[in-house]
Amino acid sequence: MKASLEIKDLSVSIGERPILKDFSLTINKGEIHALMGPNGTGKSTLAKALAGHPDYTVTGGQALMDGQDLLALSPEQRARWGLFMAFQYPLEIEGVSIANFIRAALQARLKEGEDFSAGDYYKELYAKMDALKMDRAFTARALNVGFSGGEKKRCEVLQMMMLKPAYALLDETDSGLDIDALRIVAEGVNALRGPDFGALVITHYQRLLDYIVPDFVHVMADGRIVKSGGKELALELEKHGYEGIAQA
Amino acid sequence: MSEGVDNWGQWFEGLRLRELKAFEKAKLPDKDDPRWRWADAAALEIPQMTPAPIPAIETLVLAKQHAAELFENPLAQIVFVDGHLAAFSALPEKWVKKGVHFLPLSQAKQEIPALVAPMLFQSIHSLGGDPFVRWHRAGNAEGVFLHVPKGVALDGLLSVVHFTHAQNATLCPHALCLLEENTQASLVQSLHSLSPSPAFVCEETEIFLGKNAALNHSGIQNLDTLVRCQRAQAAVLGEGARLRDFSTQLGAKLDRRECNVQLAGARADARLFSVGVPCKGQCFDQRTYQGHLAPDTSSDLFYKNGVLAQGRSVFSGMIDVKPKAQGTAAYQSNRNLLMSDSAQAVSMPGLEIGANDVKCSHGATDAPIDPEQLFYLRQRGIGEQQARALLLEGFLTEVIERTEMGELKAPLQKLLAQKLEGCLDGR
Repeated sequence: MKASLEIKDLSVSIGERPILKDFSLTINKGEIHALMGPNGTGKSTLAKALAGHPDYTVTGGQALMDGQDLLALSPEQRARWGLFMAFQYPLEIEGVSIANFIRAALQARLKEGEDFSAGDYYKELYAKMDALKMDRAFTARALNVGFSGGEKKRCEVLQMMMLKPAYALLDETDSGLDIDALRIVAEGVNALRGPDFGALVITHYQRLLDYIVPDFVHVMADGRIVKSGGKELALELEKHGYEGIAQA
Repeated sequence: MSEGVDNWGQWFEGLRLRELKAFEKAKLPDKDDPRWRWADAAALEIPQMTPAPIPAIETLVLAKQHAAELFENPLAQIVFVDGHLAAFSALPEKWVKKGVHFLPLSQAKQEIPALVAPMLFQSIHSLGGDPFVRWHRAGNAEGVFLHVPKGVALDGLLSVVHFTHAQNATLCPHALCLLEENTQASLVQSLHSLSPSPAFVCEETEIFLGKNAALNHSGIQNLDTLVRCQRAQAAVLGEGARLRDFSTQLGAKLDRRECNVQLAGARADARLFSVGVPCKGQCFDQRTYQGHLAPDTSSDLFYKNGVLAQGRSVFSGMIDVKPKAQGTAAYQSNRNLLMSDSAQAVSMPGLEIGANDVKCSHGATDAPIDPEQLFYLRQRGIGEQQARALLLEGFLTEVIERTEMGELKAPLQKLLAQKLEGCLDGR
């Protein structure tokens, strides 16, 4: 079995409009890839299509997670298999506390009859909140309701740390973060780094990549990757802009 | 008036007969009456009065057991089955010594008639259910009498539980609450069923709050789905009085609840909350009136329904600001979450402003589950059915939290979970 998230010639439309066009990328476990590119090139579409958002229609190609056909699964099955997407705009869910939400997500991964101890759960939750410098009182607050942009993003990373996915798609997790929050969030992602974890970090800005140093950087334009390279590609982008790269 | 009465039994019987006459003269509910607009046709019918016989001893014991499981350590509790007293755990002596009365209504009529008589059946109900109220008063009205004398603040929950049991019984639960100046109390009235039998429950709740009195009042309706329910509640708030009213509608086939609040004294404040979860042929009909009669009064209504497959909710609310009520702040919000294509919600918010220095708003929303929220939960691994249940629970929990009636949170969430378990299979 291949330990990778392998995207082959993936084409995705929203309604009649094609967005992704024969997109290919392989993320091996242990690797962090950065996907950059201007607005409207299909970066978020890729994340949502892989996560199984019902508005995105796959019109061609394949996505295999550790050799399994990801696209045949429901969104919840993909998640339970180990795919996590950090949302660019996390949804506000009134009346559902963070603690209950994460517990429900963890319980959904258990086999019939299995359970975990509430004591251990809170111990782990609090430890991760401390690491993300989140106030413990947040556990009782309704998920994302009235949170600042930075608090929402920290909450996404908290969920990721608790659910311990095999692959994570981080959709502009840096947007709306000040420099301190950015560092904390990056530390959260870096804490998961290791041979059992692969990630795709979608961003506009090189700044995030100072903290989450990628193994590979890809530049997208018009629904496909137009250039790939090492972390130095991000610096090049910062210098010459997307147009300079696309023309090169 | 009731002073110098020799025979109180006769006096109360006279009161009952006057109500019977009023009922016989009353105009029956009518679809053309705007107060009955969108009501289920079945809601208009007034059945024959058929009081149930005294239940068997084991039924009374069972009722007592069920009631004991509802709330943790209520200060006092009265339990009825089909309108017959099943259990009465009286107030601790400490409160009795302070002059607090919390008694079955029939007992209060016998023991402290001069206290009961001036206020019993004095409430005015204007939301359409008046003929039912007359019928209730003319019938076997039984329930609770609560009286808190000046300056006493009760620090626990008072509970009244009515169970339906006998086939086709008619029940007339009644509550009369008198809170004098500078008092405080919490009362919960619950309606449940011991057996799956059709019945008709016709309830009246009368609330009178004196100067700076504060009442937390909640009504939990979890009757069997064969039961039909017609309820009318009227509250009059004196100067600086505070009412927090919270209704939960889960059971019954048809439950119409009228809530009439008169803010009669300056600075009186009413917070009105409700959650309803109609499903599978159930209809919950909610009619409300926020009457601002005095200056600087405030009211805030927040009603939510999670309407499931083949369920129906009707909300009709009116904020009425009288010319004298300058400085009023009045809000009204009805939100309905439609969980299925076959769910139906009707919402008729209303506002009439007779003063010029006021802050008022009203609004209603009917919407299905947000597909983006659903996707967010599913992306975390939560199955679609559970995600929908979680979103619905969250939608309703927001109301429970805003009531700040912490002691009811756990029992209500348990009842809600039971309800959803039985109802969420259909779309």
